[in-house]
Amino acid sequence: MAQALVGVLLCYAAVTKAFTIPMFAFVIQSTVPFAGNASTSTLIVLAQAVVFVEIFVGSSLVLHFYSRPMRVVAVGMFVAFSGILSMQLAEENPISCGCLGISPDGMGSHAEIVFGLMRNVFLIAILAAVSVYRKRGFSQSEPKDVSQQVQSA
Amino acid sequence: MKKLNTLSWVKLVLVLGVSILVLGYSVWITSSARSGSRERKSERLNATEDSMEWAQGFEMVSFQAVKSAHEGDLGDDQAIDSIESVLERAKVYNQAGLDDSAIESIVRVASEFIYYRFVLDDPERYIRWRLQRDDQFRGMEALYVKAQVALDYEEFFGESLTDQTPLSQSFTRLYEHQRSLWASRYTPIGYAVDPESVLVVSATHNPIVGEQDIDLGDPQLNRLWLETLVGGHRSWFRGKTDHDQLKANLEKYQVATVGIVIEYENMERRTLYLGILRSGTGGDWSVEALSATDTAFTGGLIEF
Repeated sequence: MAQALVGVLLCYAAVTKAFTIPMFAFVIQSTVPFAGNASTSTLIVLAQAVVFVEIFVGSSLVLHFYSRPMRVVAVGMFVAFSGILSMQLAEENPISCGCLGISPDGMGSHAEIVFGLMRNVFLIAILAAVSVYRKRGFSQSEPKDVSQQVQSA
Repeated sequence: MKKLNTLSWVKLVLVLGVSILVLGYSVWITSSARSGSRERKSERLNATEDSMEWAQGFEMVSFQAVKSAHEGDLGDDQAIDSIESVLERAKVYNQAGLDDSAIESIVRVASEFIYYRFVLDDPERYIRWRLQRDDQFRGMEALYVKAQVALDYEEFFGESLTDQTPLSQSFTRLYEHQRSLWASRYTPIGYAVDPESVLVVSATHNPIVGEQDIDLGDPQLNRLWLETLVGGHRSWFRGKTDHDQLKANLEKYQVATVGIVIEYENMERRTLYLGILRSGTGGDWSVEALSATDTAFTGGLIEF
């Protein structure tokens, strides 16, 4: 359930970005290192690639399709996004990234970034907790399965 | 490699289907917007060239002539009166159904703006005029971050703006620096004084329904005034009527556009538009927007 919620959030982020690709391309240009001099076409392709990965990973998490690798990819994405946010935090006048579109209106840019970082940490924690829970769930069930196998043998 | 079972195949098809659908939509909406924008830009470029050619037919008065004709203690008011006498001869497209006194106050505000911003071209006098009108500098967050003043400041002067820098100081510094970037094709030297060279339009905007379309009743006039390539300039002040607040409260408001023809140092003539607004229930007019016809947008901004 928790994994599906993160998946829904990723899908939501992808869909909102899909509506405003030029704006998202501008955010990439302004925030991602080395993207400042990229051509408009490159930035748009990059923005669409991020949207594709987000919707792919998000819908996979919702449908429990290759859950474990998708959780790893999602955590990787959140870590990368957080890295970019942290770099923005160091700027005196950071631009508003509008990440995930779920930061409350009227926040200052720095407050918005801190909110984004906390949100990403929370999402990473959810995915980590799901992984740990599943691992423990399987490891607890494994001896039972083995014993059943021994008994049946 | 592990073989996929039927359920996994179904999930793969669903995941890929949704992903391709969203990606396809984003590619389609972006490319259609870009190609539509290219077509519109080409049409607007043609209209801009026609508008510039049309503007060559008007009689011009230089800002320097207005300034030197009215030097002295009463100079400001006399100079503003002389600009007002030009603007008030314009045909008014009164779509908002304003009364005569409202139209007069629109013309007065526009005349004062032209005088303090273009004729005097002195940032300190301009600030003083805005503050005398009870206008205020917009907030630091709105100016420095949203209007990208801080980014420009750092790029131009290699220094960071801090919260301690007075807004009047950063305004003056950017005002003067932008002027140094103008070059001849962006340096305004005068304005046209024929009645046909001035446009006064009023409209009512409703944040729920949207903006009221402007129609001058003549396709050619619409093309020359309203379909040119136009770039906006940076507003530093907020009037007594706060546009953002009106929109946030979903209140109707009245918008007046005053258009004039400006001559630049390279003798090109292009239209310039002043956006003035007030609440739908009346009150004082606030200078909210300034935009100018242009084909290249390579000059500095007009900070106002």
